[in-house]
Amino acid sequence: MQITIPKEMEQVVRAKALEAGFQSVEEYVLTLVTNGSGNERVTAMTRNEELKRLQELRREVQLMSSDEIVSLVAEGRD
Amino acid sequence: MAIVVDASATLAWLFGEVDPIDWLEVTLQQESLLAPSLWQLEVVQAVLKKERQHQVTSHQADDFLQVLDAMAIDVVDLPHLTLQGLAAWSRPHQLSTYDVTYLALAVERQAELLTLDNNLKLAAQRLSIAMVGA
Repeated sequence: MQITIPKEMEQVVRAKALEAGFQSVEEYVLTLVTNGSGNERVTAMTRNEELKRLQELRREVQLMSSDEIVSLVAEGRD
Repeated sequence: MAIVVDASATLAWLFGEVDPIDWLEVTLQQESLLAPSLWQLEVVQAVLKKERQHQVTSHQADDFLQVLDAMAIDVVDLPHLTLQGLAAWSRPHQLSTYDVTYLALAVERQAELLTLDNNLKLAAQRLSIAMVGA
């Protein structure tokens, strides 16, 4: 099966697919048809990006023991 | 089952010695995470303290908070307790009222609890509250 997108819609659909994190229009349209929305994919991508950023940030700072973290929270309550 | 996260568990994702990435990747996809509104104050307070002590830069602090903001953690109202009720929760377990908030939310939502705090873990055990990783 091949998905045919009307010429006048092609640019809009392509832009929406890219915005939702899809590399191909076909994949985006199939996801829309099967899931009803491409939002899950966007959420997953955002989550992965944030976790990657967290991993980078953790490498930049000095890590703490569990006891030190519990004390840090307790100090904030004083 | 939902998971109530406290400030210590959250800060461990940022600064703890155990790498949380794999756990977060799976958990954020499969579970719903909850925190009382108090959690926001505690987490930001701790991150700002590290910033003031020059253990993280303001840019890093902002980035850490941005990562947490992007996580699907449902921040909910404090459990509805009277002042007397709050004290009644606190007394037998010798817990701070801050800790009671997390405990009461876990009971109210029938959720598991995630914390690094041993006193809170002990109280949760006494109340038969399920704990993540227990």
